[in-house]
Amino acid sequence: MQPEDDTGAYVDAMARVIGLPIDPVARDKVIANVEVARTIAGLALAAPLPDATENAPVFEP
Amino acid sequence: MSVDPTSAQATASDVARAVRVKRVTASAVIEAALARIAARDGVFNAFTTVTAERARKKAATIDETIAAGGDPGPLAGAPFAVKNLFDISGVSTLAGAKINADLPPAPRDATLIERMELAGAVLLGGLNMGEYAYDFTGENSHYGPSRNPRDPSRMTGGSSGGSGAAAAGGLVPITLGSDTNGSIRVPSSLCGLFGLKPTYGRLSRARSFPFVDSLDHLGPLARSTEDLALSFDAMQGPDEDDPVCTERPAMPTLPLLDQGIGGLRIAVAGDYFERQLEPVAAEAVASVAKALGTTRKVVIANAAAARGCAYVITASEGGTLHLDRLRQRPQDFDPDTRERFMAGALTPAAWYIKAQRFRRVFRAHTLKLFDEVDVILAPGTPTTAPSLGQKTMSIAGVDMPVRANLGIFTQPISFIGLPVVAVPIQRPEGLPIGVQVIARPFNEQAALRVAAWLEKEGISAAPPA
Repeated sequence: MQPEDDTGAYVDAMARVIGLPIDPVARDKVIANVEVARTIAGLALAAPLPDATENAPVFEP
Repeated sequence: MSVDPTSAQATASDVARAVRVKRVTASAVIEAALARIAARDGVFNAFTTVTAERARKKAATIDETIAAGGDPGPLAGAPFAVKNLFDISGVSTLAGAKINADLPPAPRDATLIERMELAGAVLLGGLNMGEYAYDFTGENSHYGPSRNPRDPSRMTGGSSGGSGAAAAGGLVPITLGSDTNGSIRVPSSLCGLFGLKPTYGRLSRARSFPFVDSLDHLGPLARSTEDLALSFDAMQGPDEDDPVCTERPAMPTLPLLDQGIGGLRIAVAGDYFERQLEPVAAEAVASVAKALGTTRKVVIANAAAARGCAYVITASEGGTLHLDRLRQRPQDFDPDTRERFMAGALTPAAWYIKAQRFRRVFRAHTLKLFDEVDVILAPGTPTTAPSLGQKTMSIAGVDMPVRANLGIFTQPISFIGLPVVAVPIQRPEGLPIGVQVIARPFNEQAALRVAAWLEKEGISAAPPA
């Protein structure tokens, strides 16, 4: 499958799992927006981080 | 020669000075502001609610206080208005949404409104914004677009679009906005205003409609740096109603505003912040750097990745916040936000958590730069105000969507909560554009001092349109 097909399958499945009805007319735009996030965040999502780099529940700048 | 305190040119500081010495009454100032709104807001579409009776009562109280010899506060009689995601007692908090018009009236003002009024400022109403703040354009399918007073065929930028239009149009001297990824700094740049996005956690967000808890900030837009400092100082201080609000004591900025730039180490952000921008944006940064006498450059490493992480956190937290509304009333969302919120609600947890973890690394690396410099300059927006309705723009020869890309230079900075003053560069031959003056956390003072110096030297200014 192409990445777009994967994202489409993910959107369909995840929307059902969390109970979010998506109008068939809106589906392509939702998929496109998930793809945009994946593309824009790709650099950071691919970068390895040490295990000790924990999330910050209360963020102090 | 002093400015007429009832005119559009008057800053909040001008008004307060005149009111305090009884040169004008607060009531006269407020009537003049109401008249300007009535005359001009048909074009700007900045206000969604005008709280005229409330404002008249408040002004009368100030005038009575002065007549009785009392202290009316440092912002005595100064008109201001707020993005309509701030709770205004007795008004439904729209947050730019048709859905929110069904909410009951807010029972109490937002903390920042209470603090502004405690200092003598007078609230004149709620301001237009992009739906639920998921916006960089200032457009809104329910309430119409806010229009840029410098050219009403152009966008104000968003999401604090009405805040930009009301201040730049001379309707009120100070407006309050919110900034999650750039929503104060983008309209400041496109409308030619001073804007302050303080450090994350510096100003209380209590009783404002949220968007992205991890990234939401509130702050002022104004036509002078003195007004930014005056209002910022009035709003500072801990607030137990906002768990993110810092417990640090207030640090007044106004007393040191005119200290100049001596001793401040200033550099320009290179790499990411020099790419993907039009010459007009690069020239604005260069003109500010030249005036400040700096040729130094620093690189904020991984800024593109930081922007991506801010994007993912925004999508995920924003989409999740609105999940029930997306389930129940999808048809009532703005078509320009609905599918973005839906996509955000589906964000994989692995992406979201990675983005939050990356934030810590990016913060640590970026803060090291402040061992060597005090202030970093960067473009505010990649170009000047696009036309209303415009969907794509050409930046450095590449076509890209307007909505997602007006904030490419603001997003990496708010991602780690650094304080920024947006300074406007007016261009006689064209539209204004802003430059970000960025400082280390809780050092708003340094950014404000640089902005005030640029204003004093005539490099930066924000006259009403």
